[in-house]
Amino acid sequence: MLLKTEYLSKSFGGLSAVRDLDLTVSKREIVGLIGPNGAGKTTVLNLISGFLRPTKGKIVFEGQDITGLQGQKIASKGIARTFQIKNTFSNLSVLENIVLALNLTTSASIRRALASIVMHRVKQEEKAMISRAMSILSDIRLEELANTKAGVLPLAQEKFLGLMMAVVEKPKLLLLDEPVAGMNREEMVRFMTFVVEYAQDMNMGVLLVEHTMAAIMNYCTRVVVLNYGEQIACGTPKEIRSNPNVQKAYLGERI
Amino acid sequence: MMNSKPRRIVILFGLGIVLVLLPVIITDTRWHLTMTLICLSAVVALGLYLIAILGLVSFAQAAFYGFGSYTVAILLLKLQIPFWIAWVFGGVLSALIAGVIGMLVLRMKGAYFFLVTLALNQFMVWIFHSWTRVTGGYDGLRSIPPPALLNSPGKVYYLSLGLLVITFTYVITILNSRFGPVLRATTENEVMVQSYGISPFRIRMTNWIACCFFTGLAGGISAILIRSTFPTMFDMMVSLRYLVFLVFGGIASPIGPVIGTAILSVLSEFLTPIKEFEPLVFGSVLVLTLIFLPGGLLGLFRKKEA
Repeated sequence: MLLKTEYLSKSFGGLSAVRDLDLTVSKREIVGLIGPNGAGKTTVLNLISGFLRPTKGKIVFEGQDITGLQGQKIASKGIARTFQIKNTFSNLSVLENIVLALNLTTSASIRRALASIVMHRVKQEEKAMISRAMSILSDIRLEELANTKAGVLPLAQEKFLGLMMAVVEKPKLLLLDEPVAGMNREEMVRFMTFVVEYAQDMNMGVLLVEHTMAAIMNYCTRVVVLNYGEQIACGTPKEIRSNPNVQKAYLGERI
Repeated sequence: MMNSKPRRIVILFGLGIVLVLLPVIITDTRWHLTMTLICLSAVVALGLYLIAILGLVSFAQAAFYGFGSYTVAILLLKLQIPFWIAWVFGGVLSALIAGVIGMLVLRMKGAYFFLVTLALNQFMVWIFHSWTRVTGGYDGLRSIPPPALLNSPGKVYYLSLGLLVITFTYVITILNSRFGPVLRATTENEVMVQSYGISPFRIRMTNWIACCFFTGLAGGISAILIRSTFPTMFDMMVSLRYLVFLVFGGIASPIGPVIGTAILSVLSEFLTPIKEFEPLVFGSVLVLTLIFLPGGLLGLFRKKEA
């Protein structure tokens, strides 16, 4: 078991955004997290990735209690995430974005920057890093756009770049926040296929928050449904599709 | 691309020769003083530039300049410590104080940061003129003995020019290294950089300390240049001057603050007969620049390129 949450809860004053959530993700598992708008899905991702502190409950990652740790710390433990609207730095070039994502291996610091003038070894390391970044870019067919600002990339390419940035440091758990929103069918298939293959190859667990049902139903091994911060169903995509509680949550009750 | 690099080197070389021979070409000592002050102010403006890249506007640089200046003055006058040691110590002390202040101040952003640095500047100036026993109070410290090697503005010029070159090289190196994109990314989206294991606070802190280090060194040189140091030299209006230098020159590249400092300092020289109106002129320059030329002087050249 890669990730396990116990009674995970988050309240903002009187508003209970997530309540007593028990969630698990295992290696090579693609867990979908769905629910109507406002159900608390992004809040769950923010709690796990350390951008929000839980009001109650525990988060255990690889046997270690990571509850309450901050975003940077959690990133260094091997949990990567993407964000809903923007996943890349618009002002930086495509290449600079990838190199930045490689930060966990060799961090960009002032000391290093100064050392790279005088120390040959550091200079070589930096060069190796750039060629590694270029080969990553050619994997997603972006090497020709290496020096363009990420802000001008069309949506699907920007999302792919964001995904590559999240996985370059081979994370153990990948949290995806509505990654295929806005993509056409072909792009979505390419994206999700990549995620599934990557998870299999790298023994990575994935927690996927999505509204696009095609992405959830065709690529997830297990689906968890949230409504008003609480889990109302959990099962295979097929089971979820025919679950009356889920239908009620999304479509309302038949009068 | 191949064309511009050798050309650039030639231009830089020519510029270097001119700068080095400047005190020989212009022999009026008053101009030596101005040239040296330009170098020192440019160092401070460069520090401001580096902090501004992170979206922070500091109003406290004059106070750090003052720390460097007072440290050298006190160590030279009262403890007879050799200049070079006192000078480096002044820079290090400024950096340390910046570190301590940074723990509080760097948790804030935007307008809050600006206001707090303004308050801090005034607070530090208050220390300068209240701690009479050490700093000489309102009158400050006079008759600071410069080392024999630096007993004229012309000679101090070379040290200041050297400091400017080092600071400028530092800024360029940092920006062109992998650290440059990290700085820009932190400014753009602080939350996202955290998910790559980067601590925005640490980035701001290291940057801030480095910049205040250079500012402190510049201040240390000023102590032996004008051989005195007193509280009003480091008032918030002086902090404002550095900001105007930066805005006028342009924040697109490190050359901006240097050019802005040079041009406005020379302008300020010619305004000496009407010194009371200097704040008016500088204020107008600031407002006009922000309205008509928000990119500063560099903005003019960028537009031509486009």
